Amino acid sequence: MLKVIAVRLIRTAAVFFVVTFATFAIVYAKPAAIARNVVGISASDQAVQAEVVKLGLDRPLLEQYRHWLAGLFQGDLGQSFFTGQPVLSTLGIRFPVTLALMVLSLVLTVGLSVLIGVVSAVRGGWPDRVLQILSVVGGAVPSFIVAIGLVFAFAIALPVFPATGYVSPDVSLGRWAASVVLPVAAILVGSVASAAAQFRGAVKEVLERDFVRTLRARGMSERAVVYRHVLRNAGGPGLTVLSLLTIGLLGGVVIIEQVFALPGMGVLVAGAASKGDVPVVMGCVAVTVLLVSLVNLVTDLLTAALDPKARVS
Amino acid sequence: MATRGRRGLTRVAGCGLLLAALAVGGCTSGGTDGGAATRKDDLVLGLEADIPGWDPGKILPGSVAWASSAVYDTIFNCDEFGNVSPNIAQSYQFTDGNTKLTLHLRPGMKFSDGTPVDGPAVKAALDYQVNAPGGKSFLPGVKVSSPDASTVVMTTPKPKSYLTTVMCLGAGAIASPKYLASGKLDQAPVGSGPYLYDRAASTPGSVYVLTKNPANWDAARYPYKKITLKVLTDRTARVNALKTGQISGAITDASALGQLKTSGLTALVQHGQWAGLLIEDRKGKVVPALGDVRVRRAINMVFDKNAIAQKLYQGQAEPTAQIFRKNSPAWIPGFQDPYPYNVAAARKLMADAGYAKGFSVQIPYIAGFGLDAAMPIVIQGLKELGINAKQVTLSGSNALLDTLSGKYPIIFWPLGNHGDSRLTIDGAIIPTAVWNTEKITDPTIDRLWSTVLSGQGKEAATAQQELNRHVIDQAWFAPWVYMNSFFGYDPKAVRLEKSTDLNALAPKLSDFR
Repeated sequence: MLKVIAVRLIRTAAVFFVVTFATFAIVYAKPAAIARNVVGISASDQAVQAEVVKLGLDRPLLEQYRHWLAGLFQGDLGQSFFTGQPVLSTLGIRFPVTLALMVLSLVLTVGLSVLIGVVSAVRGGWPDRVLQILSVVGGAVPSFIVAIGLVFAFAIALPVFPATGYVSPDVSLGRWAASVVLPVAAILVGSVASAAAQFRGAVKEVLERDFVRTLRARGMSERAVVYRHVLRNAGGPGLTVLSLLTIGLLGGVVIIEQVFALPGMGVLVAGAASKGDVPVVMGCVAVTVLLVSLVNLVTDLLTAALDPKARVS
Repeated sequence: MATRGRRGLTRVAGCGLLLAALAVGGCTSGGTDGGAATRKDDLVLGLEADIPGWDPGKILPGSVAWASSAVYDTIFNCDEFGNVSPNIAQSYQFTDGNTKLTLHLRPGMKFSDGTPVDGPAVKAALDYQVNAPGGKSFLPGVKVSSPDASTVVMTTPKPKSYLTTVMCLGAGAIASPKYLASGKLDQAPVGSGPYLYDRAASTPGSVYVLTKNPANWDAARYPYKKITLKVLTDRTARVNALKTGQISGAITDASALGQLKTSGLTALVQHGQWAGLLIEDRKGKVVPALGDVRVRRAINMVFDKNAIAQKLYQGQAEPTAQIFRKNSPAWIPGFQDPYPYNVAAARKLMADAGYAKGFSVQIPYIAGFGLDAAMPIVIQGLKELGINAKQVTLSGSNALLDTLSGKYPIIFWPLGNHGDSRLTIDGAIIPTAVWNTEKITDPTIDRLWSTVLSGQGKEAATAQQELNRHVIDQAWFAPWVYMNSFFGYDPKAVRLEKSTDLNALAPKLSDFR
């Protein structure tokens, strides 16, 4: 198991360096354009050139990347070109919002989709048909449409939850929960629809295997068959689905954060990218790559724990 | 095992119930985030973009300037047409052919750090502005001196009659020299404005809280004790926040008018933009045909402005032949459109110019600037003249820079105009103008602009109108309409009679009563 962890860690580090360098090379490719974005469209060429030097963009790309990397390991990701705010402290404010959305969405997605997927696969009949219809509908409706509908229903027509904004749990746990209910619900519609259908498929596939028939033939109760054996065997594909879902959520929350005006990382990176605030973009990329790598690592390890064959491969 | 499974499910369900309970608890105690603008002393407004930080040298116009205008005083105040009134400068003289502006400072003013707003401090702050990005375009070559503690003198290398107006804008914002020298412009701005930044209560990028500065000389003009600015970049989010009372005002658009009305809200209509084509290649450098004035006039004649105002802009626009704001000095009252919609006459002009079969041209397009519905009309209209217009989609942070690079012969854009039309000439017509992308010079423009810069009053206004006529005659632009823009607000929470914003982008903080 230790070897598995070591290999995965090395792979994660390699992915991190490749992705961050590739991104760095792309976003820092045009120093003059970056500087012009900072000093304004009406600035003279001399002013732009002076800004290039001031921002250190005249140095070779590799040197700039090395400098950024060194800063990263020292906890310094530079400052926003526009607001002057340290990128790390900005991420410190924004990341918890995104993380809260993701973790809540993920936990609820897992709970609901496993429950629905298993019931649907085991019972069949109308629950199964209903799930299939709902999964198509849930997957087809974009999350921002769901979000707008939820806001209309539960913030405007029936003012139960806030339409926009985020309250830190440090300020008020109750108001924090109120501020995330609608965004999480908007995410859940699509994610549960997709994950439940996948779980259903995985469970159904395992239920048709020979060993399940053997277990039933030995007189084991249906509940024991499902909970003790089928779920464990369906867990591998399920974990893969969840890891992909987690990574997909990173993209999905950008839209949800916009619609609910949540001060998360999605809104931050979208704004930074549109105005060319490259230190902020790089900071967000670093955090995203680390998060995705971590999710993949945990998925690999859990899969290995569930399935000995995966450890060998 | 089955029992363990049931426990797991019970935990998940328990978490969901806990969250719901917390949420309901949160709702019953707080209703909505922050309780909104329920107190008359508090004003909560929505920003359509995050502020560009606190650096006084990077102030942008519109609602994003609310934060900076709250903490920094400017040299002068201006009304919507650029008429100057006192602020930091109590009085002034503009002498030596509009090259020497002598400012007499208001006595007794202090920055929020307790240091005086005196001659040396204002000189240092203006020096900072001269070298800042905004100053490089508005204050090129400006020298600042302070002969005594209550006087500051600004000298320009060439006459600049609208320097007083510029001193109402971001380039005239005065910050404490100590703060400017600190190198930490991102944390706690130090100015003398009507509000103080409450850093502890704010979350950069999301919420900015400003509390009243009782020491401000003009505090009576600002009735609110606290102003909260919430960043709501999404249009739907802003409208939802307005409808649920989370904010009292924000920029909206025509599509939200119905929703606002049904929710008991209203909208202040502003007229700060015109939409149409900017025929950049007036000398025919990229597309020789555009160097012929008959071709440019023909382009003006193939667009049915009335239909565009009614159908494309849903009646929220007014056809025009002028790019200057109504009632601004350059605007000509009662001016008859010399290029009425007449496709046959336009085709004849093209034939006379030797371009009966048309030509090809590239037009840039950037998503998110309200161009989507208009671009097909642009392309279709030009096609009537045989002009094959190819839409070039630009994206990313450099898209606007690319648009302004000078390689596109025609640009379609909803362009801002100003109450002080000299700023519109500065931004769209003269060779150094940002929107004169090929930096085209014209002797008539040079002559008239020189008169505008060195004169004041009627003489300068007449020169501006002549310049306007010349631009129309030469068909530098193909204006369609003056566009309405909207600021949605709750009339029960705020009184808002008009916007005195020179750019007509958003009401100023002092407009909220």
